Amino acid sequence: MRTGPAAGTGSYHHEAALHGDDDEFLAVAVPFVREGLAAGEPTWIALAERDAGLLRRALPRSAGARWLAMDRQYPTPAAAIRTYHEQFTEALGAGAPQVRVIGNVPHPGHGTRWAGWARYEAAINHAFATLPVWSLCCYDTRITPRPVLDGVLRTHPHLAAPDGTRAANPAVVDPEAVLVEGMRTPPPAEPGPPGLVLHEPSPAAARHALLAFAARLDRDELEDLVLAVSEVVDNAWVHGAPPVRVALWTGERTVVTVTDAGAGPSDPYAGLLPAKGSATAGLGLWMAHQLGREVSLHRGPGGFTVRIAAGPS
Amino acid sequence: MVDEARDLGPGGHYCLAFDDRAEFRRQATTFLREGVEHGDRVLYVADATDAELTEVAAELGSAARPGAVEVASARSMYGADEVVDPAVQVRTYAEATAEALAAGFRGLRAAAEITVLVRSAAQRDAFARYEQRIDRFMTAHPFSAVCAYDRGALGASAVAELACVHPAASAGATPFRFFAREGVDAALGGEVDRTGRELLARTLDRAELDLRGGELVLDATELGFLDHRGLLLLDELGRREEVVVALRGAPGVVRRMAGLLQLAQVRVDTAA
Repeated sequence: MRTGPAAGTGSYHHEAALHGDDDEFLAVAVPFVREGLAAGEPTWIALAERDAGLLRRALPRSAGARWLAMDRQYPTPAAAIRTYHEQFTEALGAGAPQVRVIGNVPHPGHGTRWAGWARYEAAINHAFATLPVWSLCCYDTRITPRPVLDGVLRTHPHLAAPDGTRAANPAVVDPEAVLVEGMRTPPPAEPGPPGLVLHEPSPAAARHALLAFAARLDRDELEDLVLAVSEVVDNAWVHGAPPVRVALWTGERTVVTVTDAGAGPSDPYAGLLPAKGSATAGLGLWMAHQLGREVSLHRGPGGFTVRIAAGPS
Repeated sequence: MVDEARDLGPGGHYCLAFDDRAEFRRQATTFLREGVEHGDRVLYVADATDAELTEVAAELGSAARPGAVEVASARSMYGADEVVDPAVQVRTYAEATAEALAAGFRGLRAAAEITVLVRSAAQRDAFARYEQRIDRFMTAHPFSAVCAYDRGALGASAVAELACVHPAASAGATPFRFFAREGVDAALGGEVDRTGRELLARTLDRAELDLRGGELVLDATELGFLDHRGLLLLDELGRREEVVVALRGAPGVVRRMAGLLQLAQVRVDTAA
């Protein structure tokens, strides 16, 4: 039998804990893990180094929790969704009544970008909707920037407080609305004008330009970026509206934007989840998200833009 | 990729897509002259006047031993609307190669302008099958050839249909190459994206592959790019034929892509 607040249901329970100090963190985290293990439920921990250290010292050494490396679990939002989905499916398929996960989603407080992770926090409500999984996302309010906390409150249907109380979150909004609204944000400003602009390039022309231009990336990263850009340009031609324009920036990072005059995909989960309904466009954009270091979608008056960044984050 | 027919080694098979007929004659005679020097019997087949054929024979034959140079008009060798029989055509060249060896030559070289044989879709289909078979023959026999097609007369897509089954072709003639290689079932080189996907599907349909081993090994060391749909196409081939398509020496991204798509019928062994 599934334990905890979602007992009796088969659905995903996505909860956030906002803690102001270490004691508050442990007051939520320790019972979450201990009760999960006591009930025999697979209990996974995907925390950043500091929180992981605190929790490790608060648990008996013999505790059978599974410790997941945060950098491997959260390389990119789309990869994290895929990886978790595979892991959940495997554990539940083996007969577990519920999987518990306690984690830290990347943001500047952990020294990484938040870009893309708001999409992740919204999309997993849908991606894991039918899985009996309870995830507890811990945010330390001392290090979490305000805009990140705002995003957290909009994407978690449930809140856990240090005093043990759990409640529905009144501030949560429909994940699709979060994703659609996120797309209204313009692409971040680049450090200068693009080094190269291609008008109406074929996927091959975009690939060849990128290969000639982005020499700083290592071979694997360049191959992945070339594939991502090719798939996105292909989508722009097949599903978007002309004109198609590709811009490239190189420097510390390599950034490519692909813009077409269309409205972009109608599926708000496009890219994060493999194709829904139409199996045509979804897989290429999903592949780009899986392989691209940082991929974001932008819908504006000029059309639809996919921005892909590679290199040091 | 070989840019010019003259870089061809023995057993080479080059597709020359020309815009200017003088280009064909220049490259063909260079290739055949090297053959004469190498000790091969050489054959010049062209959609040419008798005067041109005589000139070329004289040009190539001046320093050659008797019987080393043959010239023929494409129209006299094949009827204008003829659809080649791939098996018969391969046999003809196999016999000619054997005859050349029996006569003391080191091998056979042919430069053939065959635009006239591939004007209709049915002709091209048969000829593309023939090109795949003769390509396989060439990996094991001292026969090499330049197959020349007039790009202006045929159009780019018709030329690509034939160019793609050569190990090497003129720049821009085909996005990818599917060809024979010793030790593997075939090799896939170049780039496969939306532009060439349909052509690759047709080319795979035409391929005569030995699928008895449960595995179809494709040398992918010359594969520059494969998009996810191209990879799905190979997976479909594997499912249909009940074999695993093994891509040997492919770029790492192809392996990562195959892992993400969880393809059951494709195995990717990346380049070292």
